[in-house]
Amino acid sequence: MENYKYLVLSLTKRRHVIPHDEILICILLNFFMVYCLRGKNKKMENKKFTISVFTENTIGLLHRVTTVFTRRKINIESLTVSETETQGVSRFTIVVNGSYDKIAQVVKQIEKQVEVLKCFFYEDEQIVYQELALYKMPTKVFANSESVEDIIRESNARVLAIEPEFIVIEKTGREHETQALFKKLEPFGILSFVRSGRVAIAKPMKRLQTHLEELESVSLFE
Amino acid sequence: METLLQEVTTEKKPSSQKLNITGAEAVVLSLLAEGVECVFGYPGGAIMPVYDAFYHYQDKLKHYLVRHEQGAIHAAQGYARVKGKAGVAIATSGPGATNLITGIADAMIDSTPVVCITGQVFRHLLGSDAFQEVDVISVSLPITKWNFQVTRAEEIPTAIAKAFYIAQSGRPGPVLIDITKNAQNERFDFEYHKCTKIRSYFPRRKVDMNAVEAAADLLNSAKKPLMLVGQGVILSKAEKELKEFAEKSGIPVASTLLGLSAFSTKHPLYVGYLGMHGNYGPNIKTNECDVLLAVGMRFDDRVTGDLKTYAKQAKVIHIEIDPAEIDKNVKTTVAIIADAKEALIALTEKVTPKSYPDWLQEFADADRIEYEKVVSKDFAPNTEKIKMAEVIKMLSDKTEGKAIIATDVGQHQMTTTRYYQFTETDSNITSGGAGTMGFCLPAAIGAKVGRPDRQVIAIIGDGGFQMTMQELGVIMQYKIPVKIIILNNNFLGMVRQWQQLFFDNRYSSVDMENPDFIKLAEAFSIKAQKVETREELSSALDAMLESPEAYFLEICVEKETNVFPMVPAGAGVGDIRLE
Ligand SMILES: Cc1ncc(C[n+]2csc(CCOP(=O)(O)OP(=O)(O)O)c2C)c(N)n1
Repeated sequence: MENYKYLVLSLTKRRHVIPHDEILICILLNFFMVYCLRGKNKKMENKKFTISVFTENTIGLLHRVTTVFTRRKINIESLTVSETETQGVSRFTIVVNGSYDKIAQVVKQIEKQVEVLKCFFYEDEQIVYQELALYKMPTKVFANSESVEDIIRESNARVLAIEPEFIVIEKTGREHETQALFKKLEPFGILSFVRSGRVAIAKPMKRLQTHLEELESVSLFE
Repeated sequence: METLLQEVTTEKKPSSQKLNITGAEAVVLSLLAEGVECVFGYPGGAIMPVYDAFYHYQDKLKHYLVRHEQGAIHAAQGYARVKGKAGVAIATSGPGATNLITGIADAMIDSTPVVCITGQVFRHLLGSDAFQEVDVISVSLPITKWNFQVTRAEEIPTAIAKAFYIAQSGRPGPVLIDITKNAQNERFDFEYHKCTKIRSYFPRRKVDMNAVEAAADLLNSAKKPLMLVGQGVILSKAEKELKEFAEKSGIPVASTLLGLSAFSTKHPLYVGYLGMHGNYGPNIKTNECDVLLAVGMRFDDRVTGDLKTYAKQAKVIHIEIDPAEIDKNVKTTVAIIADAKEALIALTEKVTPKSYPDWLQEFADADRIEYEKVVSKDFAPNTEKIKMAEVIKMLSDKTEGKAIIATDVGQHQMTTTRYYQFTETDSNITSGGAGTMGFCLPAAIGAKVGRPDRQVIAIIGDGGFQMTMQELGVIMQYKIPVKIIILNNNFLGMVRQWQQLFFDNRYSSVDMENPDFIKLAEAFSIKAQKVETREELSSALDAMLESPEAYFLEICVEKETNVFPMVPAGAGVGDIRLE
């Protein structure tokens, strides 16, 4: 895909030196390739997906859900579990890398588990998501320079705790943002760093309940 | 407890109730409420209260004491397969529970409904490495459809009600309920409500008529359609509907290993059996048909061979109850996610009556080639010893394809499934997806317990027999008239075949020095006979078939015959070898 972008760019840049009919051929070729690559790449290339699993809150279910990934040798990048707005229903937010086809299959296998209510998967554009990072640093960094304070301000981070020996800075944001702050603070000596898994909310407005009602209306139970 | 109840809908009226009883008695009453008539099991410390309850209910619930817990689970599987309802296996904690594992995995991959009940250490000892404590919930997790640990008596009825509902609905499978000893001893007021629905579980979809229309359109304009039927047809009891659909649509029917017996092999539309050692016609025609209609099957790799060259030219219609099977291995054009029976009824209405004489002729031509190259040789009495195929052919003729045939795993299994001409459903009991050696003998016992009215014949290799032969004790103790045929080639035949074909004849640990099987059977008071020549075969089979009791035949067969046709592992179905 990257190569292809470069191709388009170079074609458009050189446009003025190419005779007209060649441009036309190039443009047609462009469209054709966009068409081909889309179909192919979209399903086969590895991407980041966020999977939301809605489950009954039962012991052992975490294990059931994760074995679906381990069986297929898919590495889980992050996983968070929390209660939802519905009592007794938990939400797993799982971030993984994989091809669309593979993840779609995994999602079906997760949904097949008896105590899973519903499972969705999203690309980054389809969700609003956030992570949280904590940075533990020696308290003396404040005394010795002003720049740490500036960095905290500029990064929209905040100081969560101040102890005689250390301070804890908190930053919410996407991975590249928390990572950028890490880079900035690193020269001052980070004692400890931790980042949470991703939490995500899907953009589509349809509620879980509606999905379940739909499923129920097309299902038979005996 | 909270979650167990919250999500479950049950029948309003209790089907059974009794005040102030122990959890152990509740287990038995729950089983009775589910219509269970017999269980297969083995006692031990952590399950003893339940065994004490069995003692009190022995007139209502028959317990078969197996000789190894693997025997219990396979017997429960055999029972489930012929009855079309869940079989029950019971074991104690620790090694008792882990001995069930192979059978649970087998039931999972072959979609067999079984309910396993295991004892567990006291609740307060959980996690402390107590005597015979194994975390069987974690161990069985990836190979059960559902499992649950009960730690309080009050949870027992709901857990068992869910277990039966889950095991038997949708795509069936094994479930396991692990019950701590304190829960078996505690007293409570028992009430049993059958489970009718679980909030998070959608076992079956209504037939989507749009999908049916789309499928019918494809079929109605097809020139060379081919239908592949799997065990889903048997599980949904759709044999009659399959026959009606096939006869109206005129589409040739091929079967998977586990689909065998769903459609009579003698039906003019039956074109054979698929897969690695299946028939030549349906394998090569898979890559020539224009519409492939798969019913209740999952495109296992033993059926498809190399997916890259599998049915690429065909539009694929997939009727399947489990949404996770759709597009898993083969991309579909139309998916009908539904029970096979309901889907077939709907589809039968929409298809136009057709027939495909030329297309069927192509199968007949392929059959002729297979006959010349393979079958005629398999049947020819031209070797010193009897060939497996001769035995199966004769057995098939003598029983008119009407017996329940249980097989183990190996050459004898493939030969049997190739040559036994099944004419009645629920008759093929074999370990398909897992290929579990040792499956046959206990599974045949379970099948005979389930269907005492039918002739049940176990056909086993000398290798596999020795994996679970201790279950002859069950046949002896309960006088179960199973007929047993050992096809003795003194080899782990199928492995030997691979070593011959793919490892340059290097026979590595495949020859077997066997015990005296006849003495062995006789030690269990089972009538036994050894057959070494062709002349003896027919009368020996007659004696076996006519015997009202169990009967054991050891048939000495050619040592180094190979099963053909064969799609070599990793090759495409089009590359099937005839020799
Ligand atoms: C539990 C188990 N272990 C190993 C195998 C691998 N295996 C498949 S077929 C076979 C040989 C079976 O020999 P036998 O039972 O004598 O039957 P035959 O092939 O000779 O008919 C073996 C070892 C298996 N399927 N199951």
